[in-house]
Amino acid sequence: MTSNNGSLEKVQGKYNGPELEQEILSYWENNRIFDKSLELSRGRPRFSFNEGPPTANGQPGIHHVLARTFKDIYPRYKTMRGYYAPRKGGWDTHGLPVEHEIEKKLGIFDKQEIEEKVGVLEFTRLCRNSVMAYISDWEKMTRRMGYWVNLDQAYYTLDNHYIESVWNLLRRIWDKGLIYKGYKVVPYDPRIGATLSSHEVSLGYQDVEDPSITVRFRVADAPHLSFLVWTTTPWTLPSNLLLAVGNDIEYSYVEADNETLILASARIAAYFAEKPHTVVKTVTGSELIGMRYHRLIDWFKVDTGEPFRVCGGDFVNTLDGTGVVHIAPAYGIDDLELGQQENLPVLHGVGLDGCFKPEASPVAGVFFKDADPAICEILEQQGLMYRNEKAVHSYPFGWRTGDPLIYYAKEAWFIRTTEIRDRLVALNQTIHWVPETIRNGRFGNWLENTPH
Amino acid sequence: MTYAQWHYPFENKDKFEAHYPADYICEAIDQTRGWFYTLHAISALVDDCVAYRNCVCLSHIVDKHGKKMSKSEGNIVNPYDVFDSVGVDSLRWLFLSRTPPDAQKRISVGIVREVASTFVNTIWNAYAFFVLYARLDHVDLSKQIPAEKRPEIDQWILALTHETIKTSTESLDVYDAYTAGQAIEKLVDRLSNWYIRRNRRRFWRSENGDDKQAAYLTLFESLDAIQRLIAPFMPFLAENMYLNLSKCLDQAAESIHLTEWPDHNEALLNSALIFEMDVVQAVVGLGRTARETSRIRIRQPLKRILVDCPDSRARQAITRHQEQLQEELNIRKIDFIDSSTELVRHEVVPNFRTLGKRYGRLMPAIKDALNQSDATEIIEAIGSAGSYSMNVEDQNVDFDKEDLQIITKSAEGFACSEADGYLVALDTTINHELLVEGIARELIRTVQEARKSAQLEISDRIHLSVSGSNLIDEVMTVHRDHIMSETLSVGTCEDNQSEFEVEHSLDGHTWRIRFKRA
Repeated sequence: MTSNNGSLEKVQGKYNGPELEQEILSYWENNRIFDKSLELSRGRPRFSFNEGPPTANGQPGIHHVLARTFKDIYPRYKTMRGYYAPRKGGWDTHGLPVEHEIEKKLGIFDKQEIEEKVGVLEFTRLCRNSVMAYISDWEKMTRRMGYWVNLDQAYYTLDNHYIESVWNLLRRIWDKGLIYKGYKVVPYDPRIGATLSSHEVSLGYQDVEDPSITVRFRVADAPHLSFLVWTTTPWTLPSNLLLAVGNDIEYSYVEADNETLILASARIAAYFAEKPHTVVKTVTGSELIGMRYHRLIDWFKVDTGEPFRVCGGDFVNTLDGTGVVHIAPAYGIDDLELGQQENLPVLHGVGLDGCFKPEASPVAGVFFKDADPAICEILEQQGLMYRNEKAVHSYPFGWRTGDPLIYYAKEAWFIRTTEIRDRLVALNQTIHWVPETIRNGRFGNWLENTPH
Repeated sequence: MTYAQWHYPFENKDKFEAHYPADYICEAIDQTRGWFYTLHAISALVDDCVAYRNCVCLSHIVDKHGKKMSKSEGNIVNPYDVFDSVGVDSLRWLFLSRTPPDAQKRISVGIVREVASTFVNTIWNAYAFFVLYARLDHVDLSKQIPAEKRPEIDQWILALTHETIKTSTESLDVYDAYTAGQAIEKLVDRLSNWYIRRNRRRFWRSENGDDKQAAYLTLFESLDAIQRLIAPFMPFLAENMYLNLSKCLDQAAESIHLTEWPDHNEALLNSALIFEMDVVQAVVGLGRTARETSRIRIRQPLKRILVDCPDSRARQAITRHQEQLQEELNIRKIDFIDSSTELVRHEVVPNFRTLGKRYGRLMPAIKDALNQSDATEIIEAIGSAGSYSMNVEDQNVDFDKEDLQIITKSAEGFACSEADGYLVALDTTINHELLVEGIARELIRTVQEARKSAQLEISDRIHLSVSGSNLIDEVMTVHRDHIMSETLSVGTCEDNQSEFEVEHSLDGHTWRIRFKRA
């Protein structure tokens, strides 16, 4: 230590954070202190930090200051400890929030309309500009809070070089045989043509009133004998390919009003409490398997597999409905699984726009939700409607758009993460999580149920 | 993105390889369903390894009431509201060191301001104190005095400083900023509220001897450690302090952020001494509380305190540091007691809210029964087993912790305060002699205040006179020497010569102060 003979400067007055910080900011800039800290430590053991790129889609908020504080402390600490700690910033420029912002500005929310009136090139240009405009605000905040990160050489997710690397990763995964094309029933918003994640769907459930109809599926070669089937989505009936029953559930043949109806014994009260009826015989579900029935509505051609028969399904219960479940592989997760097991095709009645295909002449081009009344009318006319009511139930809506969602079997590319599930779990055990509980908690649980 | 940010594998192969897997990433906890997962899955798929070795998940920010921030609630905190009024250092400290990682973080401008006005301000004042006196004395820190030759109190704060360096280092190594921050707060508190406070005189002293030099060296070493420890947390404040304090160093870097993290000196660690001082500070804390509850001013000396402590180690610590304790609490004596039964009476009272539902009409009888039973026995049972049962009018009544309220009453003539196994009982009897001394201290305080108001320099001598009732005269006679030396008075002030006059009263006693510069 030196003899300084009073060269210490007087401490002026009280602590004034804002003033002090502005002075230091200027000092750092004029003397390039951040850069020097890296220059001096180059060649030392590396401390590698990766910045998760924020989306510059609005003003940075206090929670961004929180994240950037934690991103700042450890590289600074490690630098003082003798490490070389370069920090490369990044910007996430993609995603629905950005698109939605531009749609709002344009006042156009239809993908088709955007393509026709604005054009994809122009639309993406507007998105790009929007993100860039906010980046300068973010840079200002980053500087002000003392988060030392290299923004001059920040990476942008929209950069072609960036995207090229991503394609390379996909190629490497493809070469391992872990990418495949298949169907998956996904929560789908047909109005904007976007698929939501199961996490996002959980955010948008609402109670709404929908049709609650029970229809007759006439048994083949057996006049006056029908299966009773309940559904809240009449629009899916034209895509029906199977009926499912529970193998161990008891079913009854019930005679009433000159016809015989087959339904779960436990559900007789729901339908016949006020009606005179006779139970002619009872069987277990397994005895119904293989029975054939007449198709309700035959707008769409089915040219593979053996449709229109009864199968067993362990998802069938008697909590509501009739215990006989209508299966449309295109519109339900259990449906798709059963349909694929039975080698049946995915038969779509509506397109990606949510509207009925041209072959469905009475409702061609009609949005799925709007086609319910017409379909019910057709069933009435054909004497297939047994009970026609409405009921309030919980239905999924897009949490950002408020559009009704369809569980829609989409063709998609998938990565077979299930194949490496054990490795995901094992590797996770080697990660040091703060807080510790995340390893076997929020993250560990997520891996155990490896989603795709 | 680990790979794509380098345009790997088309470019920067070496940069990528040097940087992968990442040592550290950090994001909000919702990324367990997003970025954390995609990074992990892709690295596993492509390279069969982790993408990151350490990951900090941040919990959510809520407002000061614990409610989520939203526009409709009107409780959103704009970063610039904080930056422009309090500054960002205090906000950074709040985020890093005031909440454990998995707890929600309560934020408001007021909460940040509180960090600044307490913790940050304490550091600032300690720093300003050093600079003030170092400049006055043209201190030369190259004159070293080895730690073992310095007073024990210096060794204590050095031990605490180095222990804090050790704890902070170990904690930050495992990404635990919270523990590091808590340790630093304790050091700052002890440095300011104990070390500086108790050692002011060593800096005020006009002669420059070894003792003063030791004080400067010790204070500087602590401040130097503190500024480096807080550098990653509060980079602005640390830099501001360093650019000034580094003038005392042989080699000053251009910025604190270009310096090395401090290494702790194993030889200076002393956990026994730290333990002793923790005990002393705990007892002082309880003693102060007892004074507050009995509303006796700190300047009023008292005969004694009685102390009940958890073990013999604590007792030894108190004995060793008796003088300090006596000074701190302004008491003449410390006596140890083995049990506190005569001093403190506990009463156990039923909680009508929880018990009323279960026992209804039995409540008055329960109240009486509790009143007549041995409170200590009940308190012990609740403490160890968590429950207590008794028979009231042939009915079995079960109590658990929420069902009982424990009231502590001090015996006559004592004010008690207890915590963590320690009990301090203040003997509140004030005899005439103690009263006189108490007033003497008040007189000194008021004269010092008057000197300040008269804008005297710290070292200005005065001629002083204090007059009032007979009691005041008695005080001035008995404690003359002490009062004169504490107020830098070298003689008496005649009535007609005074430059400054002021009157004070306290507890029914009035006195008039007159002085002039000597």
